[in-house]
Amino acid sequence: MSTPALDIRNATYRYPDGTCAIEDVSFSVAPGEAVALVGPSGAGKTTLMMAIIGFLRLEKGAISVNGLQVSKKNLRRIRGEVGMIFQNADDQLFMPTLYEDVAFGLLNKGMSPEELDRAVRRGLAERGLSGLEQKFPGHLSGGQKRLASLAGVLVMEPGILLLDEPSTNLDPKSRRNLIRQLADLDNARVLASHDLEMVLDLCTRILVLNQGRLVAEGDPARVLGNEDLMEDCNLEVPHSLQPHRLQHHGPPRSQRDS
Amino acid sequence: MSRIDANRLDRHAYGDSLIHRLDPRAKVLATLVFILTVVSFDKYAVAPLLPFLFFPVVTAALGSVPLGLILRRFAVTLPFILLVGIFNPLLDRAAMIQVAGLQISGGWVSFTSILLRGLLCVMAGIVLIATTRLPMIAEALGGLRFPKALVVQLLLLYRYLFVLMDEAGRMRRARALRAGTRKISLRDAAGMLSSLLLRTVDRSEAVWHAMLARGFAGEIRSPNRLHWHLADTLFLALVAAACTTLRVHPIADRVGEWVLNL
Repeated sequence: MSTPALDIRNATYRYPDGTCAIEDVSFSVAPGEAVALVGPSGAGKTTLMMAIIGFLRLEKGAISVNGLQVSKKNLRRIRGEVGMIFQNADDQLFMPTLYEDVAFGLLNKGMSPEELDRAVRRGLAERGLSGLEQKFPGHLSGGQKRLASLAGVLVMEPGILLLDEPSTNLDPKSRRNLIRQLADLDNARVLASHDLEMVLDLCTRILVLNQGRLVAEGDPARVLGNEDLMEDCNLEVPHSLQPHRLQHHGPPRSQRDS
Repeated sequence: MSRIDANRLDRHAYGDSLIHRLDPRAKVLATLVFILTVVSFDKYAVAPLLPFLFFPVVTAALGSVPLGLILRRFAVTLPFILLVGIFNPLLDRAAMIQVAGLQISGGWVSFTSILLRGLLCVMAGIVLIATTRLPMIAEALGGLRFPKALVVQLLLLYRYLFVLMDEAGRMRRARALRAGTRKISLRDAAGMLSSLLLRTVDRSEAVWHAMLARGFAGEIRSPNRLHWHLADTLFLALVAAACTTLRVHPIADRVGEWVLNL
């Protein structure tokens, strides 16, 4: 059996005020697998991602990435293996031009100028951002910003990609484009999202977190179709898994009132 | 600094002109030479400083930087400059010169000199920033062997300045929507300021995490390569020669004496 891309064993983390953010969470992700992390706001999804990339130190348990334990001495190597897409793309695009932003991680890896130029241009082309090299990232559209942050991470060729609410604030076309691009990747992916339709499109396995605990795991359609579970977790069965209910709704409220 | 002014200054830096095309190291060095020469004058120097206005005015014109923008930015720094010299007229009351029968004390002369020096230094700094992208200035400082920590601080400051302005803009809009035309009270302003601080700390932390996640280890490397050309040598030599000449031979003083002797 091959080494999992991500292995989490009994992970527990408490905030300084004593609130338990994640408790005894265990799961693993195989290389190339796309796994969704869903749950209500405050369930611990982002906290778990922050622990995976080493921004938070677990109180109990262990996390390993491609067999390498997440610890202070391994942080540099871990961050070379894990790419993270943050919830707010504006926070992730911090360099003055798109070219420099995509080059940022590669320069930190010590890439030569010739290789760097090729890699940056290829990375931008793959995300459909060619021609925007000298653009100030703050002036890109929401969809372009999301793709730019993805380009900046993917050029570093991470083994595992963490995506925290990647479809937030995207218009339908940009969201569809993002889903298409994410579906084409062969990295292991952990997707934390409230966009359950996106989860159904991208992931082959789903993990449901509620109040820091892992409460369900399995096939996305089966788990997300469980109405009681969704209700308990402040979630809703995705529209595509619901029987067509329009006939029960009757006419719109405005017409009923008149 | 208003967001609009900061953006405009930043946009100018992306322009293309004779000054923009110069190597940032040449511009940084020329600005340093200029500022050091200006501050090296005697505390009562006023007339000898006047010819120095030529440098920022000409470079601004060649770099297509509007003088109005420079003066607006200078107006922001004016209170600090005034604070430095405001007590001079009170402390140094001895009459120094007479203009149209009016006795002017040494304090007023040195105060005028401080104002003029402030104007010259701030103008030179603004022209540098408006014709050179800040990351390139940082690159130049790195190339000139400035401490790395200082260069990184400069770049982070630049990034966080925009974070701060973004958050301040959002808060101002949110307040305007609910407060209408009511003026902001001191109590409200204090509350908003503390809230702004907390929000920017949060966002700065997010930016910091994003940097660490992509391997940041205390040094911001740039893919840009600096190229020193003959034009850069000529520009620096010209500025250095002009500054030295004006420092050694105070031309304005000589012209004044010549006018008085007519």
